[in-house]
Amino acid sequence: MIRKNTCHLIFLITISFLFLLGGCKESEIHYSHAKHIERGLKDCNTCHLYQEDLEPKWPKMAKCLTCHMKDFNPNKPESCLLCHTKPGMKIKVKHNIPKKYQDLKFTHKVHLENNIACNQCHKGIEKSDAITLDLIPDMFGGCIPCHKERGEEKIACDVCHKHIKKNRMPLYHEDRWVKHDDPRWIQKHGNEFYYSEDYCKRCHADLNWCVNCHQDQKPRNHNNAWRRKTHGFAASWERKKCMACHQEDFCVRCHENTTPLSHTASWGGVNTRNRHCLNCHFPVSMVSCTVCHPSPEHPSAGSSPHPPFVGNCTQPGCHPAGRAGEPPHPKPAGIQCTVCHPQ
Amino acid sequence: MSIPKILGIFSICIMISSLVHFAQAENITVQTDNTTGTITGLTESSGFTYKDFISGSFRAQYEGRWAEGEEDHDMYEYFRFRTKDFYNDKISIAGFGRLSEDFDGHEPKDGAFRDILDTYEHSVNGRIYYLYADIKDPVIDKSSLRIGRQYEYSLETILFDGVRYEQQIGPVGTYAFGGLRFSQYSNAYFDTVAGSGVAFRPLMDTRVTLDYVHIEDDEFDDDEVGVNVWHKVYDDLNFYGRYTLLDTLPKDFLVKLSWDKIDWDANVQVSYYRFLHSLAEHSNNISPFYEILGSFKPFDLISLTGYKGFGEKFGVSSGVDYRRLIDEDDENTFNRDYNRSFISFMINNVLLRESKFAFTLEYWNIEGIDHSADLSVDFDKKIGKFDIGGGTGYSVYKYNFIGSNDLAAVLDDEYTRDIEQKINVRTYYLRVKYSLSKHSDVGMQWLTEVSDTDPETYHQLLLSYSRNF
Repeated sequence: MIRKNTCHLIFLITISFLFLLGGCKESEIHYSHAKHIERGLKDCNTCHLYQEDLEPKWPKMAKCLTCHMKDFNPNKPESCLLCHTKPGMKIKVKHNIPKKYQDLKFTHKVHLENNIACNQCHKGIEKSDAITLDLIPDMFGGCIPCHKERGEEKIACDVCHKHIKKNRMPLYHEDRWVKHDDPRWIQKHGNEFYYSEDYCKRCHADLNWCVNCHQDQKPRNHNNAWRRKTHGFAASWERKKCMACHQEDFCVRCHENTTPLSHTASWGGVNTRNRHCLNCHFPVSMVSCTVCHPSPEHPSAGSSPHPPFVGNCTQPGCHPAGRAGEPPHPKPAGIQCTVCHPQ
Repeated sequence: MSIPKILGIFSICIMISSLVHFAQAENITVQTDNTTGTITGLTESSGFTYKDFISGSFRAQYEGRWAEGEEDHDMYEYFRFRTKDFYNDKISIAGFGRLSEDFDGHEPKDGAFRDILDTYEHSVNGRIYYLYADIKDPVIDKSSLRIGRQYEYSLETILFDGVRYEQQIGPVGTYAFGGLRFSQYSNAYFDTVAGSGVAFRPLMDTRVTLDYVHIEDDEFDDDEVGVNVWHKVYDDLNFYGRYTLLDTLPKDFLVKLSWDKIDWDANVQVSYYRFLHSLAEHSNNISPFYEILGSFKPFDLISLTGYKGFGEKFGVSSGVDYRRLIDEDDENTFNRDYNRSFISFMINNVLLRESKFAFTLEYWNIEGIDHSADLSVDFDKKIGKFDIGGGTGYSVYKYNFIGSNDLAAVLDDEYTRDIEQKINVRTYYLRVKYSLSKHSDVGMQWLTEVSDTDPETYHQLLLSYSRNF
């Protein structure tokens, strides 16, 4: 068994890593702000040319070559590797704002006009040895504290966001839809939570919304009929859906203390055909008695002598009139079954 | 209990709540409306500030139910709070609880309104969902400690009284927790839970988490381990994979591809889930309702869902699920094959400003024997300080025991009515919410339900008062 499990695990890990490798993207350039600053290039404008219009630009290769011409030999592709990660690779530095920031109304110009230093937002850039996501300002660590100092009105969502407003919920984050206004969102939000729990926490602090809905507020289809009857159907089809909010003890507590709708006066009455007996003599896989009676015991009733109710009964001698449901003996008028079958 | 008496009690609750609330904050607070899901603000952790030391909300709700000569009257009060950081900005406290009162005592065991609250000894019951203190950087930097009653959402959802410690070590996030398991529904006396996990990004576009949980519940002693991988395969294409082991046996795995095309206002998700081994009784948090539904048998589940928006005003979601037991012999009343599909439309601000219309249709087909269809229409419109909504729903359940076609040959109507059932359920509801101020509102909802169950006609009235502070 252990070997089988290990194989399972190895298989899964292998597949996962193949998947990862398939999607692994190398950084397209080697670049160290730290080394350039060490060599005296302390003015960001030298490379990013923002002083004219206050909008920093991505440096073009020609700009780099003003210093690196001596290192570059067009006849030696390996000389490209000083900056490029692969020889001959065309650099596609994204001049546009990455998708995940498309919701932002951000401009460098406003910040530069307010004398915000580059490294005030791009924290640690002067010590960085590579171009990484860490260099992009963090909203909670970088933007909000600074905005807060400039007044409460500067921290409203729509100061920076196009779509997220006081009364409008987020549409996406990190290139993924989180369309809260989609009526099916309620069934998708669980995936998003596990994808990025921290993202949810930004608005749903303490995850109290989870508790509010999953422990206290019923879904709209949990109506009276659901409570009385139909929840059993749904649970029999897909119990995993129940597990989103419920655990076993919730169900057990109610079932142990509530009489099912089917247990009416005719359920086991003397003048009826004892429907509860008949139900229990269906194959175990066909009955739901075990929901409340996990280990039903009634030794006086005995076991059914045949596979129950598959096709027509061919033993008319057992049940009067050949009908299943009638006891296999005459039913004495006026005497309760429990007189002979005390259990 | 008469209606005036109920309204009187409700009014008293509102007055009490008004006294309870702290000085009104002018800043943005969190408020959720479960009907519309509207966010009306962000939280302290998002950078917003509160003038008051404590922020939170109070809600009182009366629920009255009537059905064919029977009636039931209950009251619920919810209180949620969070303090600002204090003690050198290191500590904060948060809590959420509920008090419920059954005005007319317990329902009989076969009563029309019998529910879980009737299984408790007293008519007045309290629940503490969570109550904990957060301590920032208790020992070293980039760490946090949470002490008290709290939920753990990792491999399983676990409510426990104990501690949870988080530590960021370079690019790796770690956590560990432990304590006494708690349940609102059963005695978890000295049941213990513990667990730990790490989260890291081995590649720029890859996130991996590894979680472990150990639960001791009476005679059950469960260990569960899970690994999750999220990976951005391409610009708009994301991968998610999960694999879990329970007590050294493989439990399940899931792979999912999600294509999110923001420019097209569209997304598609396809997933494959395999439940690997039959699961019987385990600890309460892990057990697949074994005591009620029996063993949970292995199955495959393939899902495909999609969304497409059409401008700002229209959107369509749709999807299908396809579930099959791995071994056909495992088929029984509580382990079934099914196909499920749904489609929903949403229409925003068409003809009426600040209006929202949603239409949803869902269909279950279980082995061609059982069927269920749900159709719902919901409308919501803001008019000044009023938020008015209404809708209707229709559900039909057609249910047979497996193999009932054979049974019909030998059973008469008295028996087949137990095994072949068709239940129609219709609901109609109307809701109104009125904002008393920026921080408080009152609400009313009336619901009427007509179904083939007993009772056939059912009415529900909800009156609520909410206040944020």
